[in-house]
Amino acid sequence: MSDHSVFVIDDDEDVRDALVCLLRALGIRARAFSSGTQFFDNLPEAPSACVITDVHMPGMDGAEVVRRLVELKGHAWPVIVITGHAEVPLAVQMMKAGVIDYIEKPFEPNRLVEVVRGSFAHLDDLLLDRAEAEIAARRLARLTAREYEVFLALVDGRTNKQIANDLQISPRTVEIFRAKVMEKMEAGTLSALIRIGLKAASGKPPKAATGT
Amino acid sequence: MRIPSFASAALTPTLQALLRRRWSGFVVAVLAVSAAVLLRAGLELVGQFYYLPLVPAVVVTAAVADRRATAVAVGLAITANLLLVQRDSAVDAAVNAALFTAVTWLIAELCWSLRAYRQRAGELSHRLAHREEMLETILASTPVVVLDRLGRIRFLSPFACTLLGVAEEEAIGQPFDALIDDFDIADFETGREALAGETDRIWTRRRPDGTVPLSIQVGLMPHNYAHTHAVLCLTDLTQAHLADERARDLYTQLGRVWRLNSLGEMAASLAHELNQPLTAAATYLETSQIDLEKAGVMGESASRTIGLAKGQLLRAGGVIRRMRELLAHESRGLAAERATSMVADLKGVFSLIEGPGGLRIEVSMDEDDDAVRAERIQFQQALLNLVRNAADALAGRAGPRIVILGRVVSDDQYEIRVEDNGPGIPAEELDTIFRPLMTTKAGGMGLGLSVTRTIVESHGGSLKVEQSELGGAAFSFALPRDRELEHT
Repeated sequence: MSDHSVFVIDDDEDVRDALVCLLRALGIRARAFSSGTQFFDNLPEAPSACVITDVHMPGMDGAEVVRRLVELKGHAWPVIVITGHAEVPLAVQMMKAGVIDYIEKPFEPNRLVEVVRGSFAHLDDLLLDRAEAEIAARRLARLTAREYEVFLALVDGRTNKQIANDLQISPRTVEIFRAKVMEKMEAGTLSALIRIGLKAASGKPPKAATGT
Repeated sequence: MRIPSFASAALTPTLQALLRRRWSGFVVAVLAVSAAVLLRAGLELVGQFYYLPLVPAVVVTAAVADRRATAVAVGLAITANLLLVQRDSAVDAAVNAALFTAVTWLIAELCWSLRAYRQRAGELSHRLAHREEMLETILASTPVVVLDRLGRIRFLSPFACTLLGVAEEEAIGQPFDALIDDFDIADFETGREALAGETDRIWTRRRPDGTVPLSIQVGLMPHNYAHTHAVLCLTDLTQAHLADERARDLYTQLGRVWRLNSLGEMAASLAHELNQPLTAAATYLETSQIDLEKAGVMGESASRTIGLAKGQLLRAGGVIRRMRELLAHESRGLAAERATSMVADLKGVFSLIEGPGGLRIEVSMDEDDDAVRAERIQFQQALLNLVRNAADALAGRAGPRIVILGRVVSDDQYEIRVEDNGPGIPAEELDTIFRPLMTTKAGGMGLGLSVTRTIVESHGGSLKVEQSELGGAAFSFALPRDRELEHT
């Protein structure tokens, strides 16, 4: 498990203290905030984190916290909602807004811990994906403009002959470009190349894409 | 009085119009005198006439024209006679002329006064006819009864017959107290009962088909006529009574809804308040269990006991949840309603709130696009809560006013606003006023605004408060508009 943090937002001092105690006892980094306003004013700088928030709070309420978090951080900061006022419409509204779970107080603490752990696993996957995408993008950036064209054609599933025809070069030259692409992308087989290509596409668009 | 008509009766309207001109009198005078002179010339064949044939000329002039024209006619007649007829002496001529003048002027004066009388009589009869017509119209449209000095019915209008449920012919001559319980005209004479305009006593007429509540305005005739002694104007209060009854019914119903709502609100608030410490306690116990795990076998037994304690806390949570579910207001769901009609229903209830303190509750709603989705009684409860709060805030203030506004604010929202000119809500209390069990009122439970907010939220809106332009607080919330109803 990586070192994700949990941020607890609840206007009830005892509830947030107990939750932070529990999470820390489990070896999870946790920090408490007494209100949504306090949380956003001191927004921690972490690439990823799990947020547990209450719903009915003076000032900014839970729905607003969820809305702003999704807007600011997207999926990298999953939100768990806990409430002492379980209402079906509210639950639906929250789930639609993108929270990963909606738990009614009082709850079995283990259940919350499970959800937090689940969100961590999800975050790990997300970060791993991101790291791979970054590597792929870095490799892709090493390609020259011509090599990138050949790479795109290969990923598109075209044969050497078709590529030679498309690019108005000899099949022999295509062979050379293809070998260079495989080398620079650190792919042993065509299927490995395609996988790396998809990863790169899920990350940032490579610089080479703007080349001619 | 029959007025003898002179020439004017035979005169056509055109001629009358002509006669109204100033100069026309003089023309008449000249023509009449000329005609008379000619007539006398004709009469010369049978005998001697002096002034006599000229008398009608002056009288005709006086009948249709004014004094000046008549004076001219007299002058012309005398001049013509002096010129045409030779008298023996100047004294004779002068005496005859004077005599002629006196006689004709006397007749002329009679003419004029008759004309004036006739005109006055015409005006009077016209006015009388107008009054008669007005009286008949009033009697035809109002239940009126006239009693004689013994309290017997002397006259009753058709409306009064219908209202009292009697036929006119059998009612005439009957004592009025046979129809209305306890009615005694003598009480009005002695001042024991208030006369018209000062009474709010309600009388009852028992008809075979039911009882009719009546208001009776009594007027006593100033002169003591035997037959028309008192005039009674009846008003049917059935409709007013029904409206009152409906208002009271709605009030009772709202009271019941209020009790249920506040109980639900109490349960919800209690649940919320209890759920917090239960959550904290269960979480602390879980933490202890984790810590005890580190102690190995030694902690196992204690950890098991802590687990049991945690289970009991969660059980308490379950009990609270069930209680809440039991008391939560059963929403029958939103239905298509008209906002104005839901507010109009409360009119009677509002007048109960207005009371005698001079409080005015004004309603101003956009009636064209008022199709909304709402739960009628709950909406009315929410609105009534806001109005009652405003009324409480206005107690003891001068010129108290509450304004209820309804208008379309967007494609899918119809806003209801309740404003007052009370003291408003201090900024530091804005955050806490919606919380249950928070109150600034001595006798209050602090549930009103909390219940109102719950209702507003069940309509998908939120209850807002701000400063009103009237000086006090302005509470507002939106109802979802019902577009379907609007298009059908």
